[in-house]
Amino acid sequence: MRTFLAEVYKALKSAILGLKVTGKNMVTPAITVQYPDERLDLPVGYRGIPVLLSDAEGNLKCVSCELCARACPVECIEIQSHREEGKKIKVLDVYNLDATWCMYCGLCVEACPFDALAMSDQYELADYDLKNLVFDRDRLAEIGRRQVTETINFGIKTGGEPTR
Amino acid sequence: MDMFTAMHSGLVQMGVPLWLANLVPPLVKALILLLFILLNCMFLIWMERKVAGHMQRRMGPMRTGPHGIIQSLADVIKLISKEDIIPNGVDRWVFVLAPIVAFAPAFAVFMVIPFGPTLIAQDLNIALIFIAALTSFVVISFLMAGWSSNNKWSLLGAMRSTAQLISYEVPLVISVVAVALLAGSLSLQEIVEAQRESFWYILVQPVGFLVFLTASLAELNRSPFDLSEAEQELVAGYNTEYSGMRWALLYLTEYANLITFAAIASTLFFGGWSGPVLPPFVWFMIKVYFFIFLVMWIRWTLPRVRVDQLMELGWKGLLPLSLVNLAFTGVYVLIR
Repeated sequence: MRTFLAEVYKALKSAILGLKVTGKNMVTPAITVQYPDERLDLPVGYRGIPVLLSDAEGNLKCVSCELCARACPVECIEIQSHREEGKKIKVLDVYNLDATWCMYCGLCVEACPFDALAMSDQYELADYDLKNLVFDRDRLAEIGRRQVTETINFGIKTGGEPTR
Repeated sequence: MDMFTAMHSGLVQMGVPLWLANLVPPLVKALILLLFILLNCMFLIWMERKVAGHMQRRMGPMRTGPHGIIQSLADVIKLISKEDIIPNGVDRWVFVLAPIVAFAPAFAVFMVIPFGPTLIAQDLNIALIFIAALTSFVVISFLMAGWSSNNKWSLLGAMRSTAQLISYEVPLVISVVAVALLAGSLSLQEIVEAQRESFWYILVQPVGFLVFLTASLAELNRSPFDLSEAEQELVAGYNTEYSGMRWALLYLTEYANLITFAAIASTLFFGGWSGPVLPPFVWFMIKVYFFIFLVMWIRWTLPRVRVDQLMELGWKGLLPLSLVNLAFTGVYVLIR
C-alpha cells in the first residue's frame, strides 16, 4: 500500500517536472530564423566565395602572379594575363573561379601577397544554369566592391582598408 | 430551442407533411454539430502543430497564411485530391466501413453535451451511460481496420491498441461514476447544474480527475500511450493501408474524440458552461480548450510507455485508484 502510494507520488512529481520544462520552453522565444525573410548574422571570418578586391581608384589589386591558382588544392582558378609595353605589372585578362569545385578553404587568400583576394560573405550561389557557376573576373570584382558585412580573413578586411 | 419549434411550425404551415417536418429540426441540429466538430478539428490540427513547435523552441507552420493558420485547409485540399487506393487483398466492405464506424460515435456523443443552459441537442437522463457506450466503439473500428488491411503488422497494431483501449475503459467509467454519485444524476445538464450550486468537482475529486485524464489519454491513443500510432509507424499500424480521404477521416476522428473527451471532462470536472461574466458557450469553449491544451502539453513532454508498462499501469495502477476514489465518494455522499 505504502509503496503503491509512493509510486503514484513519484510518477506525478516526475510528470509535473517534465511539464514545467516544456512549459518554460513554450514561453521562451523560438530560435528559428525564417530563412527567405530573415538571415543569420555571419560571424567575423566567415568564408564565402573568394572575391577580387579593388583599391581606392577602383582598379583591381591583382598582379597576376598566379600564387592563388597554385595554392588552390582543387585547382579551380584559371588565370590569363598579358604584359603591356612599359608597365611593370601584368594586366589580368581572365580570372575564372569555378564555384562548383571551390571548397571555400581560403588557401588562395592566405597565399596572395598583395591582399587582392578575400573570402566574401556570399553563400547563396545556387543557380539553374551550370555556366553561371563559373565566376569570371568582372563578377568577382563586383561582389568584392559590394561586400558590406565585415569579414576578417587572415588579416584582410573586405569592404574596408586592409590591415596589412 | 425556440428556433427549432418555430422552424417546425413554419414548415407545417407551408404544407410540408408532418413526418418530414418532424425530421428537419434533428437534421439541422446534427448539421450544426457536424460543422462545429469539423471546424474545431481543423483549428486543433493547426493548434497542435503550433504548440508542438513552440515547445520545441521552433515555430510551427508560418508560411501558409498569417502564422500558418490556413495550413489545415491546405492539408484537407491535398488529401481530397489524393487517389483512393484500396489494396488488393483487403476485405472491401470492412475496410471501407472502418473509418465511418470510428467517426460516427465520436460525432454522436455530442448529442448529449451541454454547450449552454439550453444549448443541448438532447438532454438524456442516462447521458453518461450513453457516452460510455459510444466511446467504446472505437475498439470495433480499430479491429475492423486492422483485420481488413490484410497486413500482419496492421493486425498486431490493432490488437495491441484494442487491449489498451479495453483496459483503460474500466478506470475511465469508474471515475465517471464517482462524479455521477456526487451529482446524483447521470444527465450531463444536471451535473452542470449541481456544480453551479456547490463547487467544481475537480476540487473534491482530484484523484478522479487524474484517473480520468490518464485513462482518456489512453483512450485517445495519444502520447504517452500512442504505441499503435508511432512505434509501428515505421513498419505498419492499423491505418497503414489507408490513403487520402479515408485516412483523413481517421485522423479527423482522433481529433473529434479529443474534443469529445475534453467536453466530457470540462462538464464533469470543471463545471461545464457555468462561469461569472462571459456567456456560457464562451466559458464552455475556454474549458474545453484548456483541457485540450493540457493533453497536448502532456503529449509533447512525456516519453512513450511500453505495452507491458501500459497494461500494468491500467490494471494495477489506475483501477485500484479509481475504486478507492469511488469508495471514498460513496462514503462522502452517504454522510452528507
